[in-house]
Amino acid sequence: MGKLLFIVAWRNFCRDKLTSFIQLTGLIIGIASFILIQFYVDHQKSYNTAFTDAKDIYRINLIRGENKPQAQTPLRLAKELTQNFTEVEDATRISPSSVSVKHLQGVYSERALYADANYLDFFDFQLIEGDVNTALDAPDSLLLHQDLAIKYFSTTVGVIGKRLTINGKEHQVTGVVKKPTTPTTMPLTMILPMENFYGQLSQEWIEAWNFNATRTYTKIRQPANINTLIQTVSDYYDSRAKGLSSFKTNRVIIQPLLDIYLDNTTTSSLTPPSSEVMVTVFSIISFMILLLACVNFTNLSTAAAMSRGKDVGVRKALGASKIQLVTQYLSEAVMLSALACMLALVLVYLCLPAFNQLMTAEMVFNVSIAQLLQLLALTLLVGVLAGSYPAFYLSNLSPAHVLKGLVSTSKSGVLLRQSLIILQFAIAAFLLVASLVVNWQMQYIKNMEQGFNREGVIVVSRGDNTYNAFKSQALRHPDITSVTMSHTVPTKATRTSNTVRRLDDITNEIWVGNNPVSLDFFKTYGIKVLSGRIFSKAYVNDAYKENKDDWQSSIGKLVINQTLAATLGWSPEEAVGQLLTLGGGQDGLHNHQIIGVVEDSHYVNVKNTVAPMTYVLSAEPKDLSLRWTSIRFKVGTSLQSLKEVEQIWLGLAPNLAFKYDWITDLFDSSYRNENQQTEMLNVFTLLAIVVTAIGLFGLAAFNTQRRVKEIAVRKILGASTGQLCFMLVNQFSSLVIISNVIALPLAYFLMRDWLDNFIYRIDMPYSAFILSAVFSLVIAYITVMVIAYRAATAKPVDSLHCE
Amino acid sequence: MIKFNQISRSFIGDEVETVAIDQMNLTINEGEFLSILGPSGCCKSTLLNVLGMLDSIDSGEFSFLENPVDKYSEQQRARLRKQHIGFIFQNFNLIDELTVEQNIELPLYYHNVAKAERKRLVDAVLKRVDISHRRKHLPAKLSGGQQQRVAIARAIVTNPDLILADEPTGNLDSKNSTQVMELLQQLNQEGATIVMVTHAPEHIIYGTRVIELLDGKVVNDQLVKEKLNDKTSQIVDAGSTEVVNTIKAVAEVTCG
Repeated sequence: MGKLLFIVAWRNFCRDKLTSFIQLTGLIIGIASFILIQFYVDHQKSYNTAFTDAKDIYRINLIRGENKPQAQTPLRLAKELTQNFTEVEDATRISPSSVSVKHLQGVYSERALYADANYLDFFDFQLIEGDVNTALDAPDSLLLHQDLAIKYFSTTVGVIGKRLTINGKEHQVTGVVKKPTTPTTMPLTMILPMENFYGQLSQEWIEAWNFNATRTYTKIRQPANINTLIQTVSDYYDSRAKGLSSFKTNRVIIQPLLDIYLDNTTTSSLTPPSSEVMVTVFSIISFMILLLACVNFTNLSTAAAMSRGKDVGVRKALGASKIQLVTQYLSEAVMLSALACMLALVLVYLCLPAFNQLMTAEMVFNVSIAQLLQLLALTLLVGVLAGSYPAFYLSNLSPAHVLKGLVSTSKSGVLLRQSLIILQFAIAAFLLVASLVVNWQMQYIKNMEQGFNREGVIVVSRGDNTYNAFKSQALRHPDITSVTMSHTVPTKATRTSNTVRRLDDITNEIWVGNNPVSLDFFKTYGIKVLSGRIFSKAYVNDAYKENKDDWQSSIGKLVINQTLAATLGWSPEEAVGQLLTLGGGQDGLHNHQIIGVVEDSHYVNVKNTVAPMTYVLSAEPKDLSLRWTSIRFKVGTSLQSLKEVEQIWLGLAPNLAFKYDWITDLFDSSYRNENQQTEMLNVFTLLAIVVTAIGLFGLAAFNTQRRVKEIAVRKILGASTGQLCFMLVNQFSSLVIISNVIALPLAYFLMRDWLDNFIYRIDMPYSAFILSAVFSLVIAYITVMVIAYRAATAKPVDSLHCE
Repeated sequence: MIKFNQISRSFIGDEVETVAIDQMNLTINEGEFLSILGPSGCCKSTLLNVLGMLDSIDSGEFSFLENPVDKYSEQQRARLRKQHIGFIFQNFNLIDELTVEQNIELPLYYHNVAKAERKRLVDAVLKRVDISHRRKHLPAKLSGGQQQRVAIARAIVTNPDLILADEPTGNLDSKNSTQVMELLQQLNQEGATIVMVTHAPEHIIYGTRVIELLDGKVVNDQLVKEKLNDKTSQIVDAGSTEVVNTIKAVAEVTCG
């Protein structure tokens, strides 16, 4: 019986090759898309799952005042937690920093993690070499990621005991970390003992409750009490941090390690986060595409069922029971979906490298037993979902009727097929609008005025010791137009823990970001001056200097941004010359004069609103701990110039790597996740449209075949090819229009909500809705036209022959 | 009106080539009512399709109203067909989804006739075939004879010069057949040229000329008058039962 089932299924598959082919193609694309997206979703959700204690590890985030949660915490927090809270079993700290590595003749800049010795107890990476228990014990220990081992020693084995000079101190390799197969939010780089980080800091900072320089991870065994714990730790932290800064409240969040990657609200994570919303959206899209493919299958099956009506009649007349018929048709559907599943797997296998490239991920194609079972379930689900209507429909036919050939007049069948087409086009139209709106919004964000000129500027970390000499030498280079140093640069975060007040409204604190800069900062970044003047060598009192013994006698002028001027209630012109009161918290109050107002420029990126900003002048880079050297080149500079600048740099600071980034690249990379997800949305929207079009193609082919005689008659009566094509194509217009009517309002509300999440957003683009409607009609027309043209140009006599 | 000169048409099947029309010569004059007789598969329908320009020919010359049809493209033939020819089929070929009057209106619509004019012409022709009372019905609700009258109405509504009928009574009972044949005869008497393929020899008496086909060739070509003369001793008036029966018997002898 099983063999017979199979043979009949195969013959039916071969009988109507076009329909079978279309059904199969639609299913393959649908299932392959589903699997790929599920791979991606799993990948996104799998971050950090490989660590044995992943479920018990929590990251401590701080919420200070009205700020977003931040992962940066005080260095002393870890110890305070383990000593004072029994629920906290253990804690470890991680501080990222860029370091200069000297090896043989070269100096290289690397990102390093300074970590406590129990780092590997939390994050149990596999070591190719070395002992996990002692790897970070010695002060000169060095854990290398395998890529770095290869970079410096060309091998991953036998490197234990080899030496590298890091920030001038010699370190000995104590372990090589194997690249994990499961993604993690831990940067895969070199790990150094925490005390080396301390070495760079004063004791005051190490002990400070308001100096946040590390990420704190804890192991907590009783997650049931987590809310109570959050409350008590918050109170503990608040009682110590209060008064040290101007923040009114200080709270903590205890966040599960497994939630970190998809949390894009908390700032300063070690790895750029992804977005939970997008992952959910893609999950939904994957099911939509699968549904589209199933709908195709059902649609074409019921259509093709008409030509099988006779088969049913004969079988029933011969005594087949309803169950037997249902079994026959369902197993055919399941067999087809099994075939589609297998081919889809092959397709996924072939597409995965390209998909990985698109998403810059490293998803691997290994199908486990569990996944195979899931796939089997999927096959069954698709087969049953897609096959049940045709199966029950066919097996319910009255044999007397079908033998007379009356199947084709079934009104409910036509209605069902039309509703399914409407559903498909509704999904496609919805995705189309969503893609358009998302693309335009992203385009808008990327192209909107940033308030600074990001072309042609590189930033180099550090360089404060040699800054003055470097600047004077570099400016002699013909391609360099200006050099500056600053505490932060556009595209990087700015500290926002300062407050300013108007003299006449001293109780009203305004939170501001503060960027200490050296001369030429505004020139280097092309930030326009709106009123007044900017810092200049000609004015000796411009440089900012706090006097901690006598706060009142602190000196220095202020340049503020437009937003701050507006927040203070002044126009740019009015603001110039006014005095502002700075300080508060532990510090005394001190007044400074505004000398100029500059236009707003986006720090971090436009996902965040422009903060009110003050700029102060640092006479020497060291005075206000400036961190970034920025160099503006003339347009069209060559790689050679960059090399020459590097030579100038290394000539002055041979131990400090010249690692530069173009501001444009930093800017682009801050939108990396969004760009990838936009592209992914585009790809799968396209696939959804393709699947829909394939389904429509099949149905149109079927309908046209049914009307072939009518077409011939009309032709004989004088209908032109154009008239016939129009008639055949037009039958789907109303369906497509109805689906748009259903989908577009839904898309409107969802996209409105989505756009509302953005601070800088486009107005709802109504043209997207028009475009989507027009586009879906055009797609339908083109698809059906292929069939219609063939039918309309066929010789009428051929059709009339086939009686 | 129509001139065939050495016309040939063959079909290539899987293994054999079937010659449907074999170097045929035939002239059809305006005003004739030509019946084509012949056994099944003797190419009657092919001939009709060629005449209706639904099918092309392999070789020979075919002129229709002085137009060299054999040199025409598919499009030119379609235009000629649209202007001059009406078709009647054995199985009526009405469009199921359209009502009687919509079916009849269809060719006018494709001829770009204005709406008011279409209505006038449809009304007239409905009356002509005596089916006005059924104008709003769908074909499925009509009897076979009524359907064929609608099909005839549709064929003549554009007032074609030539009407091609492919076994118009093949699916009808004798009473309906007679009605249809009388209608065709009437149309012919009013000036239409008719070419009819038929399996029913008794219907040739409604026409003016009869040809018999065998294996792609015309094997007999006579005026109906002559044909009847050959087989019976007297010329009879068409109409009386006795005479019809006689003719039937004669025709059966003639056509096998």
